[in-house]
Amino acid sequence: MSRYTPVEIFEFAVRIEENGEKFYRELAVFTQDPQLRGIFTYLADEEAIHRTTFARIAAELENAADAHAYPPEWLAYLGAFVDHVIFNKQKMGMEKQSATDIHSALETAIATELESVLYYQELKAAVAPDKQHLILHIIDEERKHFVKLAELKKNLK
Amino acid sequence: MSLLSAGELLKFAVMIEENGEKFYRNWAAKAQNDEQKSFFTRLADEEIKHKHMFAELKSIVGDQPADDIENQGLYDAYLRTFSEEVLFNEKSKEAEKAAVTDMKSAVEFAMKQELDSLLFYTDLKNYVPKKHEDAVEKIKQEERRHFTDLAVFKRDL
Repeated sequence: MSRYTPVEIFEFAVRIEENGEKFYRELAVFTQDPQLRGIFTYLADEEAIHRTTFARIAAELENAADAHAYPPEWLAYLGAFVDHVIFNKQKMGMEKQSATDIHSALETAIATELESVLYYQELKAAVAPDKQHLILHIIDEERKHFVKLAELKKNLK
Repeated sequence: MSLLSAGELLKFAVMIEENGEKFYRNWAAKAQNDEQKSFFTRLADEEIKHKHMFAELKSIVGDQPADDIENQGLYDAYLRTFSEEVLFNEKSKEAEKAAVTDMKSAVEFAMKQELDSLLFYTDLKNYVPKKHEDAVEKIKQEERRHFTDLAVFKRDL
């Protein structure tokens, strides 16, 4: 059984976006390259918009109080995902360090974008059909971030 | 029209399941007790079942290009990058494998592989004909359970 409620599962998406925004802002400050600074600022701005969308969805969910609609396996899987991927303490420590080296920072960002694509797919399936396009839009933007970051990493070599 | 064929992607899925089976079989042989042995054997047996399902699906859909989907260009670029960055990134795979030194690190490695496969199958599902989507979803459901079960197994080690 999961330790988290459905509302908390959605609130973790808000945290992911908060951390993402912070990470890209730090990279924008750290980099000397104006082109890279522009890209990181753009990514940070997008994550900030995503954060607002998820915060709104989480708040609506809290008011809807239909927690019974979520299957226990879904909660168990996402609970394990939160514990082992999102709140992997060791990794969070590593993320802090990696902002000092652009190559490893890009690798961290790439991995984190993919984790969010995976996590949000599950959230998308769990919201009302008229809300799914909001999450799909965010997922597609994270996919674009992933492609862009991988391209940047390739060009560093 | 998509540049990727469902057949090409299904070939990757077959390889993922083959590698998964081999890994779990290997750890079933190294198990320290009957409970561990039957756990890894069950995972290996399920991966081989998935491999057969993907191979069968591949023979049905052949190498026909996938039907058009919304945002086709993005999905093609994303999947190509995903293949290079994750599925066939020899450098990172070697580093991940080198980190496997005991049962705990083996379970962590397996959890990462399960998530990578879930991420890949989510998109693969978009490329197979509609009537076969349920078969892919069924496999995804089992991979989610593997991840959850591995998390519990690791906790109890």
